[in-house]
Amino acid sequence: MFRQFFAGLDSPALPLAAMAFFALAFALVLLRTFVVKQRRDYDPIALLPLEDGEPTNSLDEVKP
Amino acid sequence: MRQERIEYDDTIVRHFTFASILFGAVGLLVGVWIATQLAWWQANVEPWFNFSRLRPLHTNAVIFAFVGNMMFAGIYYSTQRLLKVRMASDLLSRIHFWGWQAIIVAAAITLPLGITTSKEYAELEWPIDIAIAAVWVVFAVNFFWTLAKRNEKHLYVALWFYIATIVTVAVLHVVNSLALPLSPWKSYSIFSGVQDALVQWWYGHNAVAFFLTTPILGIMYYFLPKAAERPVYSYRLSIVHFWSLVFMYIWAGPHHLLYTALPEWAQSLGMVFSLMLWAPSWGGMLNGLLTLRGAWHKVREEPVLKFFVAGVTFYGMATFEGPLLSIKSVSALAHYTDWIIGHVHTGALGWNGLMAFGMFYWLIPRIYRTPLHSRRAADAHFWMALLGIVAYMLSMWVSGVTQGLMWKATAADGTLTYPSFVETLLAIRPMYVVRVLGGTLYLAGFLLMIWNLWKTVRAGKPANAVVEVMVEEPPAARERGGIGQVLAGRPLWFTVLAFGLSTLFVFLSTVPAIVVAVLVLVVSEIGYVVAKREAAAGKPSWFGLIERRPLAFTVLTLIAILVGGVAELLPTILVKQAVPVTGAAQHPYSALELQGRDLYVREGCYVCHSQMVRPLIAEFSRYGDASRAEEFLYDHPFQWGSKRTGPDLHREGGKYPNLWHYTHLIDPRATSPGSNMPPYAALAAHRIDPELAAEKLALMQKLGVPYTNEQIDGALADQQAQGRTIVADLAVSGVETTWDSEIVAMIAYLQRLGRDEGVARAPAPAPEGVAQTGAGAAGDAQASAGGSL
Repeated sequence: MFRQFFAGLDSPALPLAAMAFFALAFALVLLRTFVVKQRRDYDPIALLPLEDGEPTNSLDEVKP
Repeated sequence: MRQERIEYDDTIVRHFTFASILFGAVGLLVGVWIATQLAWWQANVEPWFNFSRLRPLHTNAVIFAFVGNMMFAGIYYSTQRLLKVRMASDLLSRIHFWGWQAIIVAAAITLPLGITTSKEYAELEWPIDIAIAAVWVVFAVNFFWTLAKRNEKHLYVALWFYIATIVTVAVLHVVNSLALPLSPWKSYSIFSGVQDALVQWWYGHNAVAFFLTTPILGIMYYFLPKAAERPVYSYRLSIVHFWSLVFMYIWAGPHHLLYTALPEWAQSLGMVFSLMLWAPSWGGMLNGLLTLRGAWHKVREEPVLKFFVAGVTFYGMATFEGPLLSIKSVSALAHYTDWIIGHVHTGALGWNGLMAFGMFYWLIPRIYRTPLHSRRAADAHFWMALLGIVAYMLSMWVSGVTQGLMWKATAADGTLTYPSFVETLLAIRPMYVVRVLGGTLYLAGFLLMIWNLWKTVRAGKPANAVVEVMVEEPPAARERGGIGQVLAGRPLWFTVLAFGLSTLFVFLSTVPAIVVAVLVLVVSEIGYVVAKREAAAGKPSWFGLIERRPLAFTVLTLIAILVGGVAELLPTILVKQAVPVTGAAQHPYSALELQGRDLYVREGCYVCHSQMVRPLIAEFSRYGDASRAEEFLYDHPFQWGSKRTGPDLHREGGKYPNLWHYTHLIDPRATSPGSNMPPYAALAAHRIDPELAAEKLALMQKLGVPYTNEQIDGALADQQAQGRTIVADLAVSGVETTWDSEIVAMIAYLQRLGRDEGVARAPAPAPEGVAQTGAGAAGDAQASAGGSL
């Protein structure tokens, strides 16, 4: 499959380099997202849906 | 800080929710009906309710009526709460709602009548297109006005996805709908052939991206944390998810055109960006699922969470399968088969449907201030929907792979193992029956939901939510900075520089391209270091600069999607230059052929028949020469299709006698026993309007088709001459018809297909069910000589 995949491209070197570049960038972003501790300045924004004055409890607790 | 009392406009949320449920039922019902038509042709009701006219109604109903109304309900509900403000204008909200419903009703009337542009998911004719644009502008004005008067300084990520939806759908709709009108109900695309195909699938793919995905992701980022009572797992990941998805999605359209006449490099570009889409899509999916960390036990108990979790999981499956299908070698097998139909429904039924149901079960009790009538019924709905989707997906996977393998199977001597297309159709019929069962189960679950929600509504009382919120006093304009601060920000410089360098790739050979790639890496690294230093010095980050500025944010989003859009227009221009304007391969259609082509469009033949022979050995053996770009130069609009329920027709001309086509259109099973094609006997009873041909030719002339004024003036006589040749040929076999009957025009068009000079065709299989006459030769003669054009 990979041979066919690259045979369809005009140059084998460029897509290989691009894929390696992409994989590296992807890994770095992943690492930064999951390993590095989240910055505090995102926290208040992430809480916005939970602080809009609406009840956030389960359906049974919604009273008529 | 001050306290403010806000009454949200939940009436508009209720309106859109009901409309979504109503039209969702209609869309699913039509879906089950057309699935039944494919399994049992007798379910067709000619002419208005044939499969080929109902299928666009089904897709439009599900996409724009069901998902569209659901998306608006979710947007109106969450936007008001995230911005802590009522929608800016109740009047605009009502115009938006009733305008959108009027468009849906117009679609429901026009599509069965055969009023269509034939562009998939953009079939509606130009007056309705203008109405869509106008209603969209109303929605946009109301939304951005609400942003402007908001009481919350931060723009939550869900709002980013809504902004991207509004901006991108507007761009896509306007560009793809550009057409010259012939009458109030007929227009011709200003693009032709390869250009038209590229623009259409740039639109088609991104309709999926920005109508069926980004707004639902916004809804996911709002409603999933609400239902799970937890903030989103990683807000940072949601930022990365947004920008990478928005930037990459717009490039991927050409993966719908692999192995077609589109230039090779454009196909590869589409494939590579499709593969890269794996990363942001799965990033978003994981972010959604991980939001439930520590709350998985709730999924067992809470129907809403069941729907959301399954919906997000189906998003992951669909976005894994999409890039997989974009790999050229996989596409060679899967394209035109039912595998694609299965893939689409993984997204539509699994992602869109389940997210919609979760949202309805969460919303209705809240906007009616009452608990859900029956949680057990909601649970039952979940399992019915899930089993229905699984039956649908599995049947289409099996069917698709079977089709793909049978079409390409060849014996040791190179001949096709299954030369008759109907053979492949008969092999997959059991899967079509399973699909009907799966779809019916999904529809039954939907009806159960309607009952459950109806009982809930009856027990409650509609009321607008009134909340007390703490509002920060807005800082002075000078303190806020403004757009100047964004433009002067170093992050913007580095981003522009990196993207500017990246665009050089298009013009460079391998070695310089690698050098540029390294340069991009270096610029990005320097940008990162500078950003870190500035953050340490207390200066605002890239995120901090734009996230509170809707205007800057919208402009940057527009730029992000335009980069891909413009890059895809480039091949359009290049192809236009590459295709010679005159030459042996290009003959404009005769007046009668053009009339027949319009009937082909009206009946929706493109729904089941492609007109694109791919450069694959099995396709050459079955159909003939691979299709070439220049052969479609005068096709306004293109008719390449995207599915082969029936065989490809690009080399159909001259393959069978006129009598075969006549008989086949009246009763497809008379010529092809086992076919599931609907009958088109009405074509023999109806007449074309011969006077209209001159107007059509004149319009085509304006679009660049080289008709002379003499040809336009002689259109009527030319139709008569060509039509009478066909009529005389049919009369030899005892068939009586008139030269201006629709069936004669349709035969003229079908006999014209692939008849350009220098084209090799596959040997014609012996027609089944119709005696061979001399009509074949006569048919050939009329096809090439009947028209003077």
